[in-house]
Amino acid sequence: MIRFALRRLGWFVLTLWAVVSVSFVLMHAVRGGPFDGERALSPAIEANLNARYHLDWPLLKQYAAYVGPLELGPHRAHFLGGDGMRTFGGVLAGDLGPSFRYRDFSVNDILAQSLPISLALGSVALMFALVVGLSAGLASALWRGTAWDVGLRLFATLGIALPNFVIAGFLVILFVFLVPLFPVAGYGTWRHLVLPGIALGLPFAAYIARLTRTGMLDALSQDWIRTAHAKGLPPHVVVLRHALKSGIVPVVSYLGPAVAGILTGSLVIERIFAIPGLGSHFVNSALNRDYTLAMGVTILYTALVCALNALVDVAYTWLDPRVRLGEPS
Amino acid sequence: MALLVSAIVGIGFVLASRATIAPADFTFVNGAEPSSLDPVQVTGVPEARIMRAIFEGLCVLDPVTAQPRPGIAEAWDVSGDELTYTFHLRAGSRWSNGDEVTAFDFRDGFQRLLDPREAAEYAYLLWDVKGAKAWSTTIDDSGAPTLAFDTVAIRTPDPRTLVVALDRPVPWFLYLCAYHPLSPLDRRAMDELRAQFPDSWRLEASRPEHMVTNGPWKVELRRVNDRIRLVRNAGYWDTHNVAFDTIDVLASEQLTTNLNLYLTGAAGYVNEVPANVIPRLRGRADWHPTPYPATYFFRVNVTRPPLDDVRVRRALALAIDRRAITQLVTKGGEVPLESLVPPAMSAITAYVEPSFFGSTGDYEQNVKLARELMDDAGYGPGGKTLRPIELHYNTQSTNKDVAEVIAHGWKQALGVDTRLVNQEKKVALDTQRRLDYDVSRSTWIADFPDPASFLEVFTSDSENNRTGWSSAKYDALVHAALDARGSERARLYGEAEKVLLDELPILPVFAFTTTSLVDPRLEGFHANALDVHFPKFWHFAPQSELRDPDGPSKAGPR
Amino acid sequence: MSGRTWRFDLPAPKSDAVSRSDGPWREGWRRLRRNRAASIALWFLVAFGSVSLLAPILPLPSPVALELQDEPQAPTPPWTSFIEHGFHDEYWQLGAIDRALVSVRLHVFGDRQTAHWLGTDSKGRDLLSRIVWGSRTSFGVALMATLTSLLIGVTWGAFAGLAGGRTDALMMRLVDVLYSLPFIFVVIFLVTILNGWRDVLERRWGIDREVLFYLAIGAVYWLTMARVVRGQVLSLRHAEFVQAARQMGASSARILFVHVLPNVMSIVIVYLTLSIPAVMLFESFLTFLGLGIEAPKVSWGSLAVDSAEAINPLHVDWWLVVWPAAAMASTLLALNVLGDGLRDALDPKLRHAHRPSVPPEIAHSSTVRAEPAP
Repeated sequence: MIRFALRRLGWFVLTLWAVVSVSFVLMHAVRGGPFDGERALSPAIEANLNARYHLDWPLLKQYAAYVGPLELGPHRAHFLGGDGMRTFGGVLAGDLGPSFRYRDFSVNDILAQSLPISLALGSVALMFALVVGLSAGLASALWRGTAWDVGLRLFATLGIALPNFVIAGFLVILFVFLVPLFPVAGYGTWRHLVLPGIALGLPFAAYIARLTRTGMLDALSQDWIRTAHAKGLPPHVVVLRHALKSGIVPVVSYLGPAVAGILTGSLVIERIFAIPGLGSHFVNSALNRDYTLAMGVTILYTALVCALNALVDVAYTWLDPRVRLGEPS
Repeated sequence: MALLVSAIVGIGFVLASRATIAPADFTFVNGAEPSSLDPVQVTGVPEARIMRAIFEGLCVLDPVTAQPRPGIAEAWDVSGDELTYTFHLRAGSRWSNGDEVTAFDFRDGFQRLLDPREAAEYAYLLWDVKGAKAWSTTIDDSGAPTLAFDTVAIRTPDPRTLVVALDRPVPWFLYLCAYHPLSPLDRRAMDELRAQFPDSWRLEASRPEHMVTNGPWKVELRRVNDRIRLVRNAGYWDTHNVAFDTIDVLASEQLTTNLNLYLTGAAGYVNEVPANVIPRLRGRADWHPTPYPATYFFRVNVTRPPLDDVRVRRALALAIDRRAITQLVTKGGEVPLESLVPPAMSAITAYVEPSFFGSTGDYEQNVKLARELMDDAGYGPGGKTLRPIELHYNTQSTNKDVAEVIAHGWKQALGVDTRLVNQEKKVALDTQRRLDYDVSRSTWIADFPDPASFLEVFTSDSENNRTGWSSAKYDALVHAALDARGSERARLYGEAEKVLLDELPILPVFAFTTTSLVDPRLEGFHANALDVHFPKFWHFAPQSELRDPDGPSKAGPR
Repeated sequence: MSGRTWRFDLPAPKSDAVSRSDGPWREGWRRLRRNRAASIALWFLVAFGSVSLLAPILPLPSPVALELQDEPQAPTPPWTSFIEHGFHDEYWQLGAIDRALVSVRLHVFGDRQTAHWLGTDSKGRDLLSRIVWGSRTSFGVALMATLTSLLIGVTWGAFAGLAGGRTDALMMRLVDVLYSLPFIFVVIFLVTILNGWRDVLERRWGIDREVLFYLAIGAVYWLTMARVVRGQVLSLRHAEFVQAARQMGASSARILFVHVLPNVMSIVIVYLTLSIPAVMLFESFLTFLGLGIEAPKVSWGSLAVDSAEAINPLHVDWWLVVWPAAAMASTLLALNVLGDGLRDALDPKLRHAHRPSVPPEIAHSSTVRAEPAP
């Protein structure tokens, strides 16, 4: 177990390092800089700005300064000139630097503000996806071949097949303008999270329904389930206690990446419902050339994925005793 | 599993409930999230809208006429040669931390704007002040100015008097005094913060708990991409005339979402609506598109054949169906434009833009002219074949639509093949700067209400020129105009613009209108020629006076 | 591969891995035809594909000819007005074949064209024509992107699986690392980086924006493919017939191309049908961001964005929403159904493989999101 944890940690650090390096290179390979705008800066002002954010340094030096508190030159490695900007400790010190686009915030501030919002929205979406997906999948598996099954599967495929901005548009017209149940957009109360939660969770619900159906059909055909039936256990016990546990194994493995995806939000949903979450930063930071914010969200996402994958692996051992931790996959 | 799910859901609801705040007295949608709330740093339109609520300069602009009227300065004298401005500040105006607003604060604010170490993009706005440009641009190796600040002609004989001397007459100087870069600065508060957070005072200064403002409101809460909550600044001199205790400024970029917010009553003012709903807005009481000084045009790279031939440029300019674009694509009552300076400018400065490069005002006629020009240039039937023209535009749906219509028109009228190139904004600007384009979409919004704001863009030494075009005659005319006064000035501007329109390094398309929707209950908000609205004048009409049946209050619960 | 248990409770193949005869393919085809939903889906796709391929020759209005009007025009049902005159021969730059087809169309139908059966968009362009022509673009992008990912993924996965040992571990670790990069981020970067240099790319190598698309999307989608293929190859490596071939002195290349790859093809085909919908959705997401296919060319993504704009509380031009959504949903539905059917038909054991690392269902998980995990 400890060896497993250590090995995981080792890979985690290595992955993180690789991700930081790759995204750093990607960021700086894109044309255009964070201070470009319709109104060109005079060269002197541009030089001043670049100097303040140390964009005039050679790339390798910027990279070193970004990663960690290393001694660079006569002074300590300050990412920023120290002229009123936070002394920058580097990623190793847990400081992700200042944002270029949102100049009044550090990347840490921005993540600290938007992560809880994304978590709140994500949990609504996740709940919706799990409740709807699992029950639809179960129903579909138990009543295999009936009209219910066909209908639910059709619905599930539609949930996957339509772009989410179209689905979100439908939801707004339905539940805001035709039946005024929910606020149209914005963030503030839990009611603001219902529609975006549904729109965000729907494709996941559809996919979970598909996985559950396949998994349950598989489980229900197993010998030991037949044995359980034969032993006279009531059907709901067989289904819910025994078959479900093995039937949702695929769902659990899917949940790892899915939860990371849900929790980090979606640009489309956030734009349409004006939710100030993390999702928009993934895209906008890249478009704004907000180098530090882009790297910050990448690091956060990578950490989240790694953590959730570890969690999924732990969940396996619980769901399927044949799996043991620490064996190479 | 159930545990995990319930944990996640629990966390979600705790987080969601923590975010709940009471609704504000008034809410409006501000577009993109402001890049900063530091008045010397910001340049964008959404930023300017917030600045007008939290800072007040020497002047403010009248909500109806958009003319300067007293702000922190209760009166001013202008010398006969229009070179010296003496401002008399009112007593009893306070910063949000209780400090009194004095002439020194304005001097400090101006100094900070000019300070090269601040890298303020708008520093040049003050470069007409005697000595200011020299102070700003004479720097040592560390970037610090080497001259003393008293070489700049900004004097404070007493705490309530500010004297500014200019190098040359600047007719728009009072407008600048109402513009956020010329906001005052509470140096005492800043120094305190600097002592407290020697490394991070810049970030700390923009936190709501440390931000010191002198306008009608102060900042209570900031949530990135969500809202800025403003609350009344009780020390503001005119606070008893300010109606709203709290204002929410929403950051939301999706136009349809913004429209929805307005229609459900969640916001009382949106500044832009999607073009496809405009036909359904006409006739509504809250729909008043108003021209304002901003131009939609295309830059032409005059260094690349065949566009180095002025006849080709002129033909391309003539073969744009401006009326179709403004009436059927943008739909917001935009003004088809055949000059660089938009007509809204004449409403403020009485400048009359010169006539267009031989345009007859009728598209069919123009197409005929354009064909003749192409014949002339040797690209007519049987002549040389014109290579496909690349038309760059930056990602945005109106830009795409306009580009499609222009390309269609060029093909139909001149047989010119056009390749549309959609570029992400930063890349588009970069290609413009490197002159790596044929025709590239551009916008210019006036920084100050004077034709110079547009005409200076295309002088040879301007960083914003980006067309490869330069004309000594044009430069001389623009510079002569800047030193001239009155009608002579207007005449020189006219001649300069004529040179520009003869040579056509740009293809003007239309002048923008505001396509905003404003809650009919809101009074003190008037469509004006600059689309500049100071929220201090806003208030709700008393319920009894509300007669409008089409207002947004009908569309949903408020 | 701990905890892996193969179970065969459907018609079991004769050996662990199917042999190289075309038996299983014929068998699979028979099974596919027995699956009614899958055969309907297949016929639907064939019909749709032919309409899409033959678009230039059909009497459709031009998808780009503008007829500016204040508001979109509502559908004229075919029974009120079937054919009208006024066709404009106006397209984006077409390839030689399409150009030839268009001239055939001009000879046959002249300036006759179908009336606006499904209505027009806000610039007066015929919606039916845009859906049909858009399907060409969208299918093209999706097919090419998937093939790119196949090429990289199959090569990578097969090589890793065959090499085994440390090489395998290293190669798969790299895949893991790339997996944890935010997907969306990488694509946006690739698209913006490549766009930044497009002038160079175009002038020197004639690579245009659509090819950039294939490259960018393919460059990201291959990860899943590599994992799946590598898993298959690993299990095949120890199969009897591969061992036999090795003992008979076959070269590695021969083993790879003759013995292993044909047996991986079934899962590859399944993957193909499931990836295409994902790429199409992804294209619509990029178009939403303005990074998608360039005007005046039309794709389903751009139609979806138009329809999202048409949904507003003041007035919904329903045809702009309903028809593109119907076309998109039915096609993707058909592809999904066909994919499921193919999986059942070609590779029955696949459905029952519970491999904790990457069950095939999960392996496809990246293929289902409209907007992929960032």
